[in-house]
Amino acid sequence: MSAGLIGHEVRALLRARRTRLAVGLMLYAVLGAVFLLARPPAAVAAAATEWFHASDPAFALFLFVWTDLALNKLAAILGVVLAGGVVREDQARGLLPLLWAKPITPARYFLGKLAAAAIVFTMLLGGAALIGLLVFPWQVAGFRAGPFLVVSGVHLVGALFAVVLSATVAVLIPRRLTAMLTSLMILLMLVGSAFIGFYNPAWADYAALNPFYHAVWLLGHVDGLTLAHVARPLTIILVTHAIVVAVGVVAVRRIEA
Amino acid sequence: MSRILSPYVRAELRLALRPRHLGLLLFGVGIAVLDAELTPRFPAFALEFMRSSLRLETMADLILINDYLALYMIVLFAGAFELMRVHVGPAEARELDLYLAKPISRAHFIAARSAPALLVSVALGVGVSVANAVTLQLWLGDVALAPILAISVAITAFVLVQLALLNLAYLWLREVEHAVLLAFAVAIAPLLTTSALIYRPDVFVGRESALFAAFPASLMWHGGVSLGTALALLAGALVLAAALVALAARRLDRRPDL
Repeated sequence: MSAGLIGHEVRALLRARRTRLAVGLMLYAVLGAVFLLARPPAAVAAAATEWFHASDPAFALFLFVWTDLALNKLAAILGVVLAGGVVREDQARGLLPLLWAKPITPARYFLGKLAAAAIVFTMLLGGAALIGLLVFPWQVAGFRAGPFLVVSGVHLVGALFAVVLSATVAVLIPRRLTAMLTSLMILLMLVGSAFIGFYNPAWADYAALNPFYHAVWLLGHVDGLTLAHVARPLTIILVTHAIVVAVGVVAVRRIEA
Repeated sequence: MSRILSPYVRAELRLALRPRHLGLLLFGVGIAVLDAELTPRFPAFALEFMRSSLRLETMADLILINDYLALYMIVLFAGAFELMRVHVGPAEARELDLYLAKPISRAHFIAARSAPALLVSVALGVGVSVANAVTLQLWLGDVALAPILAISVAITAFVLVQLALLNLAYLWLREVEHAVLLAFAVAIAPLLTTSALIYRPDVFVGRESALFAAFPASLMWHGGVSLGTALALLAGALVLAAALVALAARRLDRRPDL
């Protein structure tokens, strides 16, 4: 991968209006979480205790709302918007003959574009967590910065699946709009079922097929977080990302200029 | 029919129905089957939580709430992406001048492209609705089809109006990604009240009428929606969508910058 290409792509994405619109969505998600958590009913706090075996129901509920309602939905749409047109945008503009003639392989070009989208995605979701770090201590009873950052960090790595999948689907499906719609439908289904292993622990093995389940897996271990707890989902998530990226690399080599 | 519709309109109609629509229909069927299979197996605590927070009653209601959400999302995003072919996609690819240089008026162009996309979305909505109803009857047995179809048709009618509004808003956009973000915002907005109902029921105290905005759960309360009402809603939505397409056509006709 070329650092120059990645830097150029990151700057282009940061200048794009879609990124500014995404920042607006991100701020909306943070404020929405604050509103929803202001006065939760007892039944919801009891559900959070039951599902996540937490000693502090309010904090468990906060992490649930934060990862499920704010970050997961945001991740699904941002992944598609940032990476859903990778390579195909250039193809639609007739730029591929020029790009493929340069001393950069299609695989490297794909990886460069993917890396740039992942960096901007990280800046957006990471930015949301940092803004949350400033807002939530004043709004959320029993807020703990350490677990919040660890959970948000692991979630961020897991949510990068939205970028990885969108980019790979973009090079697998020739029509850009169909590829974006396909990615969005898959991602909405995955984020919609991310917590199914918590709702019914008997299904945890099936839920493990969903990268977003691993992204939120730490919610069940907030009391007494250890390095081993963090390493487990991260390892699974990174292996999953690597496999999906490899499929994308193979697919992009078959795209003709 | 071929005498009424011009060759151009017929060409657009042929282009509107694609294999992806069959894929989306199968996706909807798959979700309906999974939902009917998995929801009854949730632990009692989780079911009671859903039942009390969304004010639902029966097991069929608990299954259907997810079916209706899936129907809503599938039809809305299928239509929203289909409508990006009308103006945003060609504008981004700088192909609009080429299309509009042909002996087809701007109004004719936008109507011929928008109407099939909207009609295909309605057809997809009806298809997923039938799949939801039939699946639930197969899984639970004693379930009436008409109330399920009625609510599904009402949701499809609502989505049709949202899509026609999106189609109009798309005329101001020139990048597909902006259109995707706008479609997402339009899709999420009606569901925010339901989130508030679950996590902030206190905001509805003294404002019971506001509960009707808790889409789609509120459609299932008080006996649901009658089939006659649902069909009337769909007819109204079709008329409103036609008016909004005409407005979009008029708007494109008056744009001097194209």
